[in-house]
Amino acid sequence: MVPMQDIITVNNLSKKFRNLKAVDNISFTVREGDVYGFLGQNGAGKSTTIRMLLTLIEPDAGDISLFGLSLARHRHEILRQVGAVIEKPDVYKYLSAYDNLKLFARLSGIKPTEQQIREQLAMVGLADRAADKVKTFSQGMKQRLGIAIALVHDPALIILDEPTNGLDPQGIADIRNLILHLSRDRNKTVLVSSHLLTEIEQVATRLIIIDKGKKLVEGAAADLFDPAQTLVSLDTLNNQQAMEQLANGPWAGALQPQRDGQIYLKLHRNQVPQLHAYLVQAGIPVLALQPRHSLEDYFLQVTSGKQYVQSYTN
Amino acid sequence: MFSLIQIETYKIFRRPRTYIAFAAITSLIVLIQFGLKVDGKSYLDFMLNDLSTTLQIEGNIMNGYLVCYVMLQLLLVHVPLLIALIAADMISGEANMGTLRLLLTKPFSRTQLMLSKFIASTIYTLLLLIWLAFLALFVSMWIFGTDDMFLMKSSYVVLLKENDVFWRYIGAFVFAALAMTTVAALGFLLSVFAENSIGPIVATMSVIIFFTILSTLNIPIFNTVKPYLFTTHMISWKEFFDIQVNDANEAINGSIQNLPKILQSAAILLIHIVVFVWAAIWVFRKKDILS
Repeated sequence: MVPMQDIITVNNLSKKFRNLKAVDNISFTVREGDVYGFLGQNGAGKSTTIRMLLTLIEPDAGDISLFGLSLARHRHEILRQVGAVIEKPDVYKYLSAYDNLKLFARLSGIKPTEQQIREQLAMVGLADRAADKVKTFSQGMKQRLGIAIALVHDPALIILDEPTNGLDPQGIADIRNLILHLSRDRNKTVLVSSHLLTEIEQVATRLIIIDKGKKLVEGAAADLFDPAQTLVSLDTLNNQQAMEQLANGPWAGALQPQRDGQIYLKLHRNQVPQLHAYLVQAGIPVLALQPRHSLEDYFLQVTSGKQYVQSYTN
Repeated sequence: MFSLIQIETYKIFRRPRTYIAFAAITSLIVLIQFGLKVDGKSYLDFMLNDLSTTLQIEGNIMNGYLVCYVMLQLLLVHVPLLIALIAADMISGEANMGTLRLLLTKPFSRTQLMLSKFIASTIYTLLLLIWLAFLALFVSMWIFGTDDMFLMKSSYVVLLKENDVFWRYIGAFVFAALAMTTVAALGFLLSVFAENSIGPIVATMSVIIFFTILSTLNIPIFNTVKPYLFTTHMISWKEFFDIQVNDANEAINGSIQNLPKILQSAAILLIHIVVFVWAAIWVFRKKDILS
């Protein structure tokens, strides 16, 4: 088995804006072939980190290496192998999709043929709008053009910062499928940040969660969910009675604050059948008892957003 | 680098805004030419009012050379605004559109990008002046014909032989190109600090207006700073039309009265260009792109 190369290595990266520590001593590694999810709330430091990876922002401290090369010393060689969409996919509105793609291909150091440009536009579903000026495009079309621009020079690493911003459900699904296609069929490494956790959950092989500029967790998506800390949602015909029963019984320690009218408990995944048996024995008619191990739940558990959501819903 | 310059020039000339300047200059020149063609005699009578009793003037005074001079005096005050429209938008416009961040993820250095952008805006400036020269000089020569050039200065008159004028215009336009490139460099520098186009354009014009007023104010306290203001030197193109005279007070063909002044002004403008562009690159290299 060929060992996977580290594509991005970040060590002790920090950046401060006046008194605000936007990124605080973050380290992480993205390996070849990863679809690496970059998660955090608004203002967590995701975009600042991504901009430092793309040399848009100068770090105050720390090292960044891409493809085993120092970004500070080998910027040009590295950026030739990177394609990026950073937040909004802004391009030249007074140019057509075709002209934009051709222009950015030349800026990336390649001279694609007309056929290659048309193929790239076809890949993102813009073949029939190639000659139209970008100012006539919807947000979704601009986003797709942005992705075509990121891919036009066939980079090994693709960095997508909030690629689903402003997209409708179909657009979001298209981006998800494109990321999967790039990873599985074209063997690209993808770093993707998004606030849509369910979308990341469906594509990411590894992920990092940052909060207030600090790294909270990093690892393979499957390894991050601790079975001993499974959040279980409970819905019964009489939730008030169920709450009283649980609060005064052996499951009191597992109880979590209520959200959306549902009862939550944190327990080992293997204990779920026992809980069910206990409730049935207590005569509480159970409508649903569901272990929640979605990324969203996990994200809320580990970030300070948990407190925010709880206080808001309470 | 050459490819970057090509791309930046291409971007300038694909923007509709670029052609506003060409359209404005064309319409102004056509309007002045029309006015002088229809009613040039009245204009001349007004100009020569005081001299008509002491001088007898014959020939085609209202010729293409004089018309061009009149237009340059009028237009070279306003052309900086048209230059600023593009040069002061070079970085701020990209930041405003959001394309700057994408541009800076491409494999070239910020210095290369800045130099390319400045060279592209200089190409625009030069093309604008070539267009101005074509309309104001060549078209005027075609419409009004050519003859000796009679110029009225504040305290004297200058008479240039017909065969001694054309090269002076070449010199004047080259000098004007240098002056307008200084304006472009100032706009370019100011564009680094903003993320919208209006601010740097207005700021560029404000600086020019402020310095021009300072340059023309006849108050002794300001005399020490005047030689260092680029606006003082921007009008030195007029020196090409001052001629030396011999002991018999006869004009010496092919001479310039104060060539050192032209060279000094050119040097000062050149220094301003270098300083403005260097400062723009220095600031931009350190700038975090947050737009």
